[in-house]
Amino acid sequence: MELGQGTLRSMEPGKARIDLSQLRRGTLEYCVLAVLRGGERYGFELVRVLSEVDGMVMSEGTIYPLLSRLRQEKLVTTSWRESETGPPRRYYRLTKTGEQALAIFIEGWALFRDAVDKLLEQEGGKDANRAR
Amino acid sequence: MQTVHADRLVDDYVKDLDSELRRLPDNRRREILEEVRQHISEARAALEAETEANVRTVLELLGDPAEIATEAKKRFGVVDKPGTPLLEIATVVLMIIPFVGWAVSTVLLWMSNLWTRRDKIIGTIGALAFLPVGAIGVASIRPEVQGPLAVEDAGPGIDASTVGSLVSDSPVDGDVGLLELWMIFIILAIPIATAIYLGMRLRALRQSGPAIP
Repeated sequence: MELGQGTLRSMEPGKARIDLSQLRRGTLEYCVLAVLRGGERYGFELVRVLSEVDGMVMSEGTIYPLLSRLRQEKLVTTSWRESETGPPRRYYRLTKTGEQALAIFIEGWALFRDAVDKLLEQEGGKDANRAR
Repeated sequence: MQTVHADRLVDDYVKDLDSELRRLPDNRRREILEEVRQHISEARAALEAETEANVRTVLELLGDPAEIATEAKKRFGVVDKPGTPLLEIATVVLMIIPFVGWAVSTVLLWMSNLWTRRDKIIGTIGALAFLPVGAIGVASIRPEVQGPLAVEDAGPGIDASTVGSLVSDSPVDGDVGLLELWMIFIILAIPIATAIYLGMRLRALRQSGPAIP
């Protein structure tokens, strides 16, 4: 815990935020695909699920361009369903291609995360030694 | 009264978003707009009380329309074009106009901040290629230039017919004409090729964003 904070403190705070937002942006589409693995969802519902995870979504509206893009890429497909309240809803569902893309990402992500963790822990260890 | 006010907030928001999304393909823009509108109505339905402040919060959570549009442009690879590159187009067009065009083109070329340094050097060499090529040309055409000069220098001792037969008998005469044509062709062709190169680079650079110096 201490070590992690030490590493962060040495970075410019503004810069750290920018880097994280890019990381978030790059992984968000797979988070959407992952949520859809549990079954089809409509936009508002999907946004709610993602927003509940802290730090995942900054502006809810930015999810919609992503959903549109995922649809264009045929990673998701949509269908209209009647709702009990109000107008019909557009439901998003994972396609075969989407499932495959997600599976590839999950595998790659595990390797990537481990690699980053390994490096971060090494760096943290060094910092701690220097401080001593 | 409250609802009317809230409706106006939502209308303004959607209108803003619509205008921010204008660079997107029509179907994508409609889709995003539809979904955001739907999101707002779902969020409003979920509110405990539809006060102006609550509706405002819904819109704040959605985010600035400009931010959503920026995200949409990034996701769909829509580049905000910095307007028509008039300076660069003038540079390319002037490059194919002999002499004055070449000179002005070279100046404009260096004023541009779109082309890279390498492009500018290539462009300059292309625009000013007529100098060395022309010099070589003049040097090889010299026998012909000297011809008429020789008439003046010939003095009273040699009559015109002798000089005339000397010039026409000269075996290089026909070759010089062909060489001259070649020189003119090369002098005109190099800037045209350069203009095509600069035009292609311009297109590539505008697609990939501004040049990194």
